[in-house]
Amino acid sequence: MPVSVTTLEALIQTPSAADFRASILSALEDLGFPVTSWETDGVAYQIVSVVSEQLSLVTLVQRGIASGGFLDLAAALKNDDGTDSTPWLDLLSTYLYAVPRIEAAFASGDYEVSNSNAFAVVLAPGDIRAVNADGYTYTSATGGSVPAGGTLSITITADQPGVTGTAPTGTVTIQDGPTGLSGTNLAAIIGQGQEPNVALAARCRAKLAALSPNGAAAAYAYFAPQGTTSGGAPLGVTRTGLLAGHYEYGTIPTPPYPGQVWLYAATASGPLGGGASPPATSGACYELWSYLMRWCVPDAVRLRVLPATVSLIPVTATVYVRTADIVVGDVYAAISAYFGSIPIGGVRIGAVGILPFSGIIDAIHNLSGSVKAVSLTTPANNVVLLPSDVPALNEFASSITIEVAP
Amino acid sequence: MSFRDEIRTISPPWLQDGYGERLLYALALQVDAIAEAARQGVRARAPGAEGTPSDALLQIGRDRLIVRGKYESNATYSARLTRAFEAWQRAASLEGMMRALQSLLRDADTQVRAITWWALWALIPSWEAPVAYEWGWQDAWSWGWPGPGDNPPTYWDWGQVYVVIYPTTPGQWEQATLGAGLTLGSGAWSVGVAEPPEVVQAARLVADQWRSAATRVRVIISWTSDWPSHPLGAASTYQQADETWATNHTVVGGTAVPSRYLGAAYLDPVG
Repeated sequence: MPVSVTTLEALIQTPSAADFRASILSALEDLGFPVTSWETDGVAYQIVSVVSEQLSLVTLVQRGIASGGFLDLAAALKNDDGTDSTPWLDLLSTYLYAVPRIEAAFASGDYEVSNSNAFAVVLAPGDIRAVNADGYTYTSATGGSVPAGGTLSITITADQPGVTGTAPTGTVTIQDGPTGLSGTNLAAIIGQGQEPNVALAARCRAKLAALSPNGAAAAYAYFAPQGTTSGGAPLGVTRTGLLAGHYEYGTIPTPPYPGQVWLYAATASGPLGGGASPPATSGACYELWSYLMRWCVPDAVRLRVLPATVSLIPVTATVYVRTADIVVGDVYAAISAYFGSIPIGGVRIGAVGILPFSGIIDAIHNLSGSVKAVSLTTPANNVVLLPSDVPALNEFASSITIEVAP
Repeated sequence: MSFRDEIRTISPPWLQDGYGERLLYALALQVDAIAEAARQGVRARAPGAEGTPSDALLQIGRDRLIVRGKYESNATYSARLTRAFEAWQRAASLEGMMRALQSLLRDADTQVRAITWWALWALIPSWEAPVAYEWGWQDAWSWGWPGPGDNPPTYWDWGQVYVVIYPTTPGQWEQATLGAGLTLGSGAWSVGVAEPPEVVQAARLVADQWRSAATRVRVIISWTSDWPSHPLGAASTYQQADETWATNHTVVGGTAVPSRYLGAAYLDPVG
């Protein structure tokens, strides 16, 4: 495939073996070979075919080289199974932008323990082992006293990092623990896998604003996902929304006031924990506030970190599948994961932030190749979100039906 | 040395001429093509390097968050991309944001001014000229621009920064008004300014990317080169940027004039 000075678009193409075979045969014909009379199972033709196959494979490497210098192109590289191909983007992000990929995190969530005994049960961290519907396990990270006939809210953490720790509401049960205890998760637990290529590329771009000491808006978006507690534990922030303070003459002053910056924060599971900081001096919002103060907040700016507001959204849908290879819980998990990817305030369309109606259908469709169609009744249109809103699935008001339609 | 040449030298004598030589030549030709593509693939990431494909500049610009100006040549844009990391070190400064907007809309020597809510007037009079700073206000009740921050004599949108882009050639930012043959969606004009919507949107995007997190920015495209001018200029320059700063009119020389200057297009604020 002779190449002159060409376009980047051409450099990321991968010619097929047939393309190479045609090119080689054309060159041979120009050199005097009677290629049109060659039998396709003859020695010469077969040599050309085998070499063409090899050359086509080599162009996959060449495409990686060309794509590997650009964030979007490197992020778009895929493995044979359709998953993100990470090596080229990791090279670019690590050695040009100095932004390493965020590894998979251990899912964590609230868990309500009920005590059917006639006496209180005292739990220490690690006393409860729980399991989700897929067989992946969790260990209690906190403890306390479960009163007789009462309940206690504790925190459980997945034993394995990544999305295997995801569990829809009410699907995590106690596997091992003191007699007479049962438990359930009152909200979905969302596991966070290795940072996807698209998200890593976005952080690389946000890093540019972090080069300035002046507190550019995008710098906050860059540092927040890296926020840790004072002990170094990741806060798991995946989404941020920023509001600059200002005051318009003739209006009643409302915060944020001039000189203030409000940052709404959320994890994949929902709003960042703890109260708004300031005034809070403990909790996740405070930890993020103190982290950001260290990295990107100029002295004259008053930063406030607030938990994003949960906007509960019910979903009613019928999913038509060729074979019954998914269950309702899978659909809830897919929708929850999709909601978890929506930025705070929604996807901006002009001056309005929305939860795109079409994204819900896509999330369900992408669950399995056997999904033939998705009929979405609720929401019936794009859902408008406020600047502080993060969407969360309202499972109690939702209804998912799966119909096998071969 | 190409693979086409090299393959002959490493072949046994009976493949160095005749059909054998030609067969290997045709195969090595493909390897040369792949090697050339790999070489260009590496060079593509270097803006301005010899042989960089022109469409690679678009990708580099996306990676470095440098929006290409409508009138910008490959050479000028490549130079800006090369200095992108240096430029980003000035993000969130008044000058950094002004220069980013100046670059976006540059066709000659676009003049850019910024006015902060605490009465600082900054001007970049021409391409790469240093920023000229002034601080001032009129002690008159009809004065509609910001006053000193600690003792405001008049009204303004606290926390907001205005960036004004002036025309460098007559008619560059020609006023586009609906009617007289111009309808919504017709031609390549946005409402209020004779530029396509993507140019106007790019100006807001750049302002948002380069602003400080603590400020809200409104970009104003002025159709005239003399408004707003010096903070201590003539009374006719008292007219304000928009109606958020004051009531809908002020009195100049005993005559009511609109608060919003009618010779400019006001883009929605970002932040």
